Amino acid sequence: MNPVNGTLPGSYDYRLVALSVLIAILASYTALDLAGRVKAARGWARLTWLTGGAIAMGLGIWSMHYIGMLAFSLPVPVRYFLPTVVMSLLAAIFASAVALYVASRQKMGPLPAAIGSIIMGSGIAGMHYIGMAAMRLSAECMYDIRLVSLSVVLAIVISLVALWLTFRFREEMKGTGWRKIASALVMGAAIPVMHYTGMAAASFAPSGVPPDWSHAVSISSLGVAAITIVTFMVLGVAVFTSFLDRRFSAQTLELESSEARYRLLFERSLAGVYRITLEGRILDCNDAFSRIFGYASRAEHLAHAADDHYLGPADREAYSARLQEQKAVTNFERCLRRKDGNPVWVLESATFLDGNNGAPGVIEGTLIDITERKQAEAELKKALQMKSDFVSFATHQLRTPLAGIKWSLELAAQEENLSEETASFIEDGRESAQRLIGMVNDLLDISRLESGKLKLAPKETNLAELTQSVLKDVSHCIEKQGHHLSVSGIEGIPAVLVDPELFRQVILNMVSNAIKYTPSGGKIDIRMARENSFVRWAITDCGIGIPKASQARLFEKFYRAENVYKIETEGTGLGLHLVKLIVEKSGGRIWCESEENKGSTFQFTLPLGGGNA
Amino acid sequence: MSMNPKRVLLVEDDRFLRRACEKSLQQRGFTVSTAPDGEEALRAIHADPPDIILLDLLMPKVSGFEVLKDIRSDEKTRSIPVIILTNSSKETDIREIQSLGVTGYLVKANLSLEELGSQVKQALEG
Repeated sequence: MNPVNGTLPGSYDYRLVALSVLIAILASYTALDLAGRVKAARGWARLTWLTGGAIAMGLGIWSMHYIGMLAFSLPVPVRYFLPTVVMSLLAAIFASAVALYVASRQKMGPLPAAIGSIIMGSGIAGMHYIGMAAMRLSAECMYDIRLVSLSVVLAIVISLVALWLTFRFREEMKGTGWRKIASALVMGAAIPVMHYTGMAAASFAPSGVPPDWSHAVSISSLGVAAITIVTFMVLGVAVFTSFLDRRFSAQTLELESSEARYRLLFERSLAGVYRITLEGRILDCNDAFSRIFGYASRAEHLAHAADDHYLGPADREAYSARLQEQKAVTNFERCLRRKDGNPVWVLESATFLDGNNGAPGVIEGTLIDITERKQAEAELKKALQMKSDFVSFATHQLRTPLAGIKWSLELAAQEENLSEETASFIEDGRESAQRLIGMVNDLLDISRLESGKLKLAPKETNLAELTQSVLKDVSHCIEKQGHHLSVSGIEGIPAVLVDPELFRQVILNMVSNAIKYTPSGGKIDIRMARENSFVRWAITDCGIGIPKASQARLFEKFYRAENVYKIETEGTGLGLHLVKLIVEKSGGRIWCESEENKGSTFQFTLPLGGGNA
Repeated sequence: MSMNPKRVLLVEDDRFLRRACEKSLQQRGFTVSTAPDGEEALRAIHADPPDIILLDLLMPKVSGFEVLKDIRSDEKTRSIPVIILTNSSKETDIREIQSLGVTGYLVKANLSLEELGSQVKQALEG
């Protein structure tokens, strides 16, 4: 400032000016930060935040102002009248409270914004000029009314901008977002503009009148440091508290929402979820749990006695004991009782939790109702038993007349002086009877193998010997067809542990198929070999082969290959199914490789030392 | 078989089977008597014990099991060889029968009369 017309020349300490601007920026940042907290809080917490925030912010603004005043030095000693200084601080706090209140509301319309900024601006301007009035020096202070008006208008405009920025960016949750910092810089730069305009409005004329020093203090550079440090501390504490509060409230929020999520899962779960004591008293459960037990609601269920669920106290004690010992059960099936007394089967997973410090332990678990499945299983078992009984009954009943036919024809065939034609009719009859008996036997064997009633009787069996014995039985068929048969690998075939009677059927079946499906005079090849830990038995024919589509289903019960009807129509589709059952029950594997119109190879492997007893 | 033809008791409820079986055994030189059920079989056995019994299991009145148990509990008939002729191949039947001691267990449908004759002959000689 230039000394004009005998006014005292003043000068600025620019380090202090810079300090004042820095404090303004910090105070602005604090305001932005606190507005968010005030908004998030409710009731007493909100009032506390508002009060604390207003004090911190007010102190910041006031401190900026006084540092700014101290940056201005006059060639006369200056002291400050303490009560007025305190008044100016109160004005700053009041202005801050208004600002925080307005900026922390849910909405900010133009009218509240205008009123808020007028009150806040007036408060800041008031603080400034009250602060000026606290000056005690031997000079007279004069004001340039235009600049004073300008400073008041600036205070209001800056307040409006500050409110808007605060309102706009208060929500930024990330502690120090760049937008919050930018807003703080704008606000922090704007506030000193008002202050220095106000300073420019004042000029000091030496009066020669000694000032009234009562209740006035001189502010040394130590005082400046003290004000600065206290301001920084207060603002720092405010920002730090705000940071902690934001952090904790975020955690609380997260906990609450996670709790709510799991509660929802618990309540809406299709599985019954429960917590019970070892005595069986229900501590908590969901609706699904209550529905499974036939209760209308969870509330009704919780009021019920524990033992109602169990078939008896012994049943509950056994379950509790089991859980205490094993600590957890998974996919455990048991039968409980519904409210109406009917049994309910449940599939359950449960955990036993030891009580802490002598508190009783609890069982936590989930269960689903499997009563329907259990009933279906029982019915299926019954049906399977009936089927098996029927097959066994039917085969017995069928075998008796079949034996009658077979034996009568056998006697008839022995008669002498039969005409050639009669003899051939009798032979045909015997063959048909034999085939029918074969089918009935296959059906019975399959049924008993499938139901597990037919137990294999494994013995050390030489496949080579068994094969030769079968070939002897069918030699007349081979001769009749003019097939060329070769058998290789007979020597050194180790014995395998299988049921010789059943394996005789396997080999007979496969040899018969090869004979049947190979055109007259064809080649049939049987190979046996030991390979590592198993024995391989294979038969190759040069018959019609099996279409690719049929190969996969060849071993199914009642299945017959698509092209089989070209050769013959008899056959049941039981043979290969039975063969597969026997081989697999003996621990072996069977499969076929075939090319249509070229031939087929059927082979099985059996583990050495027996796979299955 | 030259001097004393062996006497076979055939216990079978199905008359067709009974007839065929009887005829075939007679052709082989056995003296065959028949019984259509267990009750008659027991009467015949106690009146005049045969050399061998061919016994069906499922029969009216008294079953083959009962007959077998009765024979095995009587000192006079205990050592008569018995061949079971049945069409049942249930494991439970076979086990029960074997515990009572039988010479053979044959499934009728899987048996030719020729094989039966050989089995009877073998049983009498062994």
